Amino acid sequence: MILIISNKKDQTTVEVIKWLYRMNKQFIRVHEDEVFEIKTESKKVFLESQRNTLFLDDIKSVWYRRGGIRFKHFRYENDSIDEHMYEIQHWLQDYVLKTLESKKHINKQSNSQINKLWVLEKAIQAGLDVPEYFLAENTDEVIVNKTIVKPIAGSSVLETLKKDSYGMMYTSIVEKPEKDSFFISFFQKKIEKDFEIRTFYLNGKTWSMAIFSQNDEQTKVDFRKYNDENPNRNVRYKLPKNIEEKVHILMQTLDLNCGSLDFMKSGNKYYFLEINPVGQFGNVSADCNYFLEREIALQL
Amino acid sequence: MRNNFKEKHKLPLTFQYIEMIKNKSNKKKNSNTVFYTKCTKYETDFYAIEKPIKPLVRML
Repeated sequence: MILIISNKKDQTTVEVIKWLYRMNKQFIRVHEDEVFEIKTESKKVFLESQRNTLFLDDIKSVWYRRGGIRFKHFRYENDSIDEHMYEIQHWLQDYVLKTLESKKHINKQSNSQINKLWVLEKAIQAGLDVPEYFLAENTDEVIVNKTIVKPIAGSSVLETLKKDSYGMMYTSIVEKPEKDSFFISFFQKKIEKDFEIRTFYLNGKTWSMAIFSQNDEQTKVDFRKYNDENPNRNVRYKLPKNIEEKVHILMQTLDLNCGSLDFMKSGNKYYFLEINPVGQFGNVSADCNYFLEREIALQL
Repeated sequence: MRNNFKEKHKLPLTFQYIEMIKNKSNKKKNSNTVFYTKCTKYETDFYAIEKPIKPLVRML
């Protein structure tokens, strides 16, 4: 039995499930709004939620896509009992998660969120080129129009920022110096790119796509500012062997066996930008005919 | 940096460059608009109803 931990809305999960049906592989899909209680029967541990029951022993492989397994947590009146019971419940939950992660898996709940700053340091150590970057609270050291600013956070969407609209933090060029100081922000040297590369990594293998975003003013700085009228040209791409090896070293260092990596090609250099372990790869799969969903289903 | 969000504490410079995007209405605009339906087979309430993608290899 395959355990899929995902979000209700994730379309990629559906595409992988289609392949699982094709391969006659059985699966259980867990959603972000399920709350599990840890129970036992005949000396075996099982999890029970509103819509799923699963014995830990029956799970042969796990795909952590998004969301996460959440547990029901009982509270007790007496402070001392509550503290004691908190610890017991914590270790039981820890045991369940550790057991699931010890099985054959694609990504893990425990390291699905990664620190962008830490990743950049590890990327440099792995030998990848990274555009010069720094953290600052003012623009004193920032070269205007030659520096970009982007969030340190994994998500760049602020969903309920206003009643009728949401906020999107794209990578932006710093256009003017700021008089006042601000909260620590991430600055990076702007690179004049030839094109961008989106790479999908799975257990030592990579599949890449070149995104020709530099000829369109709208997508020039951040290709996610999609131009629906005239979309960027996306084609299959093969990273040089030495870059692929460095990617593999980086992913191993970060204990990730799956993820999407962003690069920029400039001259003969490949600049590494970031990794998203739970990133979208549907476009890489469809545009380049890679059938990545099939690769995932095969490895589960 | 001018704090446009009425927050007491400072915000990163990324807020200066934030883009506000209007939430889309549910009105169907054209045949490419994606809608969702409940689907037990794939265990989701958000199965996308859309024109199927035809990979190149299917046309060969």
